[in-house]
Amino acid sequence: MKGVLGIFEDREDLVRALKEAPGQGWTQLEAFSPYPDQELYELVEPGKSPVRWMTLLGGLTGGICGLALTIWTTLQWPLLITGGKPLISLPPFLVIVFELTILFGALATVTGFLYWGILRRLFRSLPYDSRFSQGHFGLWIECSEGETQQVIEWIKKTGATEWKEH
Amino acid sequence: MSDQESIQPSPDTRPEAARFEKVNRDVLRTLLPGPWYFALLAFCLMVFALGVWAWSRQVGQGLEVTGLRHPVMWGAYITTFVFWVGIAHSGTLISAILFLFRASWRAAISRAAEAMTVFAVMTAGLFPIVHLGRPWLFYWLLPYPNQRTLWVNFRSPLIWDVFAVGTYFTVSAVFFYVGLVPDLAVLRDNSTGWKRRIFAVASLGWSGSGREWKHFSSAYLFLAALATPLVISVHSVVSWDFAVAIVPGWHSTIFAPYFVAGAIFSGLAMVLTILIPARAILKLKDYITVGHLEKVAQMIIVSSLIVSYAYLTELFFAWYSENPFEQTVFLSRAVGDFAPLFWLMVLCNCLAPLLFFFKALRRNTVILFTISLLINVGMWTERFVIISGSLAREYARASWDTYSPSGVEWTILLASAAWFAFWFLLFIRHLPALPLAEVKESIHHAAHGPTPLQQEVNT
Repeated sequence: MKGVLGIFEDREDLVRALKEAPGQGWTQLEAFSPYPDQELYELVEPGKSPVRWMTLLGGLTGGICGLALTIWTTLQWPLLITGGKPLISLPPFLVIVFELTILFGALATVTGFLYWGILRRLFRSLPYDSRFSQGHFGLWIECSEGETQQVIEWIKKTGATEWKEH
Repeated sequence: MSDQESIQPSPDTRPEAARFEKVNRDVLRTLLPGPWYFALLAFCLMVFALGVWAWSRQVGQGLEVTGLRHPVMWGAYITTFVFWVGIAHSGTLISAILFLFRASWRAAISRAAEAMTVFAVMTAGLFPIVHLGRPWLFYWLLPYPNQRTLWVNFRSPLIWDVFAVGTYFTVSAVFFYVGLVPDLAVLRDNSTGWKRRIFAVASLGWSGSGREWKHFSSAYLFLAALATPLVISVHSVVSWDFAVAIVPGWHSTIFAPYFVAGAIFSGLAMVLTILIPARAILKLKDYITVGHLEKVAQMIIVSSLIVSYAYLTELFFAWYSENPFEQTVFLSRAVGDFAPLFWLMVLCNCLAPLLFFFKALRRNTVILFTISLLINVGMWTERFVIISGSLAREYARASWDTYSPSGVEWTILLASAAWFAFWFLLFIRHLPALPLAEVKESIHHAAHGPTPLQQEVNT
């Protein structure tokens, strides 16, 4: 991937640059920050994270599995030693249903995070600077080889303290 | 000094990038183990080995080496199981519930509290197995297909317990790890050689890009939202181990909220017990301030009052129900064999925390630490009085008896504390004790206020 990586000391400069870059015709952007910054990531990728759907899907699966497990296993040995209560006594089973809802929901949430947050990025192989985990911010602009000089000229003006061509 | 000031790190006028780097330096500095550290680790392992030896005697000779006799078949082991599960709960309260309430002061203590949760559940999980006469058959608790198509009884609270505690351990461990990923990247970028390679894998190649943070934040929020009802369900299920049985002193509808409040109460005390020495030894007083400790003390007051109210309600139930068996149990708690423990419990759990109503006292770390130790003792005693005290006075007078734990039981209890301390020591010198990303975020917000987007979300 061709492009320019700008390094910023000031977050506000980066926010401004992120807002202006699409106007210059560069739309393939990525921002780097040392902490979760909602304004930044909304600019990079607007909209809500799809991880929430994984949570829902996982939770529903867990709940159904809980019901299936308790009811099916009870029917495997249908002895009425339940003190007059029905064989399939839902109130106690609901405890299992609840716990499995949470368990599957949480594991699915993490799977969603690993897929969208981690795996998808591993295949993009963007450049990285170890200062991003310290205190600096970064802006990656993807562009064609001919455009790099133009991007560098522009990124200088936005307040980047350093820039690297990739 | 206002609350807000006392919680934020001292004002710093340098550019943000430099201040963020200082956070990294201050926390990474704590990761240099000295000789004392290894001595302490070795000591914990020795005490744990002693416990393993005691347990091996119990496995060899049977439960006769314990003090457990009919009618008191649940004693120190089950008490300690409940105690450690309870300790875990405040970690989730601080990391998940306060996160959902946007109590940003939690950032400084959340990592240590989360670690405490994971290790406390790992400690608690030992006890149901230790308590078994034939521990090698523990897998009978799990629903697995077997030749006789015999399944577990899902009507039994003990099976609920397996599911609740198992889920709790898995979810807390996962929650702890996900929160740790960005900080592992900091460790990766600040280390060299094989350490760097380990952290690179552990941090999953984290780069801090906007897309990563976006899905990270979403996942963290939903994990917190799942952990919140989970933590309440776990101690409710633990309380139903007792409340579902018809033992007088156990069979009560208030048990679930009563136990959840007690769990959070004891866990908050444990947070203070651990953090007060840790912040001094690790020189993190600028980050974990007296203001943070004070907030924990304030939450202790609230949970202590709920617990005291539950004690009174129990006594009221016994009196008002006119049930002679209930009345006998509660009378024997106050004046019988278990009376010294009962009054110790009242002193530690109901009276001592009242001192936190005085600002000067709850900002004094020596007093905070002392009372937190008292609460730990008090909460263990509470469970002991409830569990063994009720069994000792069950219905027929002919079967009344008393109980005191044997040397084997005390050794195993001590070993469990060593096991917990061992894991916590490993954590404190190998992983950042503060959530670096969150501390940086709170520094930023302290200086600039919430971003326009966050204001939009909040309104």
